[in-house]
Parts: sequence; structure tokens; C-alpha cells
Amino acid sequence: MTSRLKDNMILKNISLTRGLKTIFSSLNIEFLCPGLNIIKGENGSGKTSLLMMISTLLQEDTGTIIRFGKLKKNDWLNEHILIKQNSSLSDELTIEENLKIWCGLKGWDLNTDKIEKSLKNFGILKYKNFLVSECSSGIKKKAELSKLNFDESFKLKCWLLDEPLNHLDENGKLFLKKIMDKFINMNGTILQTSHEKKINHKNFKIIKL
Amino acid sequence: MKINFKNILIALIEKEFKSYLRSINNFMNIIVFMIAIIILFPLTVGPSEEKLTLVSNAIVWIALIVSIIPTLDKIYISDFKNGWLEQYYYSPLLLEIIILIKCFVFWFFLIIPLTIFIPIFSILLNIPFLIIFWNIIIFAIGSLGFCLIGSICSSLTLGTKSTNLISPLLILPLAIPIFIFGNGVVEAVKSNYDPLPNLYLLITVCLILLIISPLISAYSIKIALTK
Repeated sequence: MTSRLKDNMILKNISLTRGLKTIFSSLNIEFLCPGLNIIKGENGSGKTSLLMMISTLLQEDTGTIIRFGKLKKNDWLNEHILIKQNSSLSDELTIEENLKIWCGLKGWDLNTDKIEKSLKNFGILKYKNFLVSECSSGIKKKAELSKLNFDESFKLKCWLLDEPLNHLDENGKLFLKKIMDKFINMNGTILQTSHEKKINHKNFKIIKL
Repeated sequence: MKINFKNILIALIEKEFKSYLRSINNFMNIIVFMIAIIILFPLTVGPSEEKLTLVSNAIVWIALIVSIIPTLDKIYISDFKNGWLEQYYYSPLLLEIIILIKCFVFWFFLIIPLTIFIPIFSILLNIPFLIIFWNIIIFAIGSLGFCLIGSICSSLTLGTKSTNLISPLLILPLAIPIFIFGNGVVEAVKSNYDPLPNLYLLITVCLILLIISPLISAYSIKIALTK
């Protein structure tokens, strides 16, 4: 039982309120670990709140969240990435600087080669010296997602992706699928919110809110 | 995974440095505001040298403080909107230490260059050299205290919509000890007393703020993020 708990992510009897609105009450979910979990639901059903709660940005009112056994909060913060729906890149910096500083803040290697490689894979290498304020939302999204394509990102336990397919073109979607499959093959867990009907991945679990 | 804390520091300082370099109009705003106050004051006081020497030191101080306060409540707001505060929250380094570094960088890049202007304005207002020297020292120390107070107020008002109303009200009462001890030093020099006791008190206030401010700021930033 303990070994099963160790690599599992389970929500037990969770309730969450924001302001006066009750978002969840007595929610029980067992996620597929390792594997792809697709969270579906209508607008305002609390998909983003669920991801933020798992990522400790929101505090649950009652219930327990088991994050890969009893990981300490600081360890958990170092073991996952949350990519939010709207971009979290600084407008005053270029794309390359944004990614470099982001890697630095995580305490990772500051090598610019790997950033260039990651941007090249997404096909936005030519925009690397553009200020973020000059870029379109698709390029911003790709720059944001190229955080997932570093060697260190594949060694993490979990990716939380909030609608990663928004603003992406076909090539971007294909490459995102490729790195998501690679991560799952390396025993990673992905929690993804999505409105897409067609899902190309082999092994996945759909969670309806 | 191995975490390189040196890289975190480098990244943090690089980000702050580049952001300030690219938003240099903030700095120019402070300077222009300061010049405006210092030029307008002698015009309103009238052409009497006696009156001017009586108030000249106060003019420099008021000009500095009034021009700094509007920037103090903007320490975190752009990072909050961009989502960088969340990245700081996810960083393995303690949020308190990150905030302390941010305050130091803010102080170093925005406030310390202002001290260059103190001698220039002081000469314009006919302030003696000894007092200019003390003014520079007091301002360098006191402004660190202002930055730390600004950090508290800026983080407390992160979630609210009308920050520019609340922040000055929060900053001014907290800044009074710095005013009193800073002015005490200059008054002591003017009347040939020992200025050191007041200077030590000023340093004490700043050291207390150095401990309290990151703790309060980190706590209120966490509240603003998880709201």
C-alpha cells in the first residue's frame, strides 16, 4: 500500500471556496500516475482552481491532497511546473532572457545553448531576441511551453498545464504532444485542462468536473 | 535534483537590473519631479537669502522624499501582473531572501543615483559643504529604510485596485522616525553638537526594518498570490 501511495496523487474529500462561491465540495479524485490526466469541465467549473490548489497557490478548506506520498511543501514546489493559461513572461525582457532567468530562479543550469535548442524545437528561435511585449500570443505561448523542453524539466515528477493548446498552431500542438509522450515515458505525471474533443495520446484518463 | 543557489542570485539580480535599465523613464520621473520642486521653492519664498538658508535643507529633503514615494508602491506591482511573483514563490530560495535582494537592487539602482544629485541641488540652494556631506550619508542610509517601508506597503496593497491612494498614507507614518533622526543629525552638525547618537538611532531603525520588512512583505505577498 505504501509503495502505491508513494507514486500516486490523490484528492480526498476536498472542498474549496473562493469568496462566497463554493467551487468544490467533497471532491474525490485519483489521478493516473504516471500518465496523462485530462481535466474537462464547463467554463467556471473550477479546472484552473483545481490546478492552482494542487500547486499550493490556493489552500483547500477541508480534505487532504496526497502529492506523491507525503512530499514536503518545499520539495513539491521543486518537483513540478505550473504553466498557466495567461503568459507569465516579463514584458521588458526578451524571450531568451525570460527563459534564462526562469531557469536561474529554479536553481538550474544557466546554459543558453539549451534555451536555443528548446526554442528551435518549437520553431521560434528567430524571435529569441524580441521583447515579449512585441510578440504575438502564439509565440508567447510557445515560449512559455518551451520551459517544458529542458533536460531538467523531464526529471520532475509532475507538469500542471492549464489549457496548453490555446493559441498554438498545428506544429506547436504536434511538438507539445511529442514532449508530453516523452515525459510520460520517463514516468512523469501530467495534469492538463482542455476543451479539445480529440485526444491523440494512447494512455490517458479523463476527469470530469 | 541539484539546485545551484548561486544561479538563483545571478538570475534575480540580472532580471532586476535589466528591468530597471529598460524602464529608465521611472528614474527620469523622479529626477524631473525633484528639479521642479527645488526650482519652485526659492521662487515662492522670495529673494531673501536669510529665509532660504533657514529652509534650504528642508527643501532638499522634502524634494527627495516626495519624488521617491510614488515609485515606492510600484516595487512589486509589475511582477505581480506579469506572474513573476509566482515564479519567486516557486523558487527554492526563501521568498524573504528574494524580497531582501529585490529591495537592495531597487535601492541600488533607483535611490543611490539620486544621491549624486544632492550636492548639485545643495550648491544651488547655498548649503554649506559640511552639511552636504552629512546629508549624503543620512540619505544613503535613510533611503534604505524608505525602500524597506515601501516594500511592506507595496506588498500589502497588491490585491487592491486603487493602490496610489493607500500607499502614501501607509508610508508616511512609518517613515517619521527616519525623518526625525535624519534631521537630528543635521541639526546637531549645525549647532556644533555630536551628530553620532542620532546617526546610530537612524541606523538602528534601518536595521530593525531590515529584519521586519522581508518577513511582513513575504507574508502579504503569499496572501496576495493565494487569494
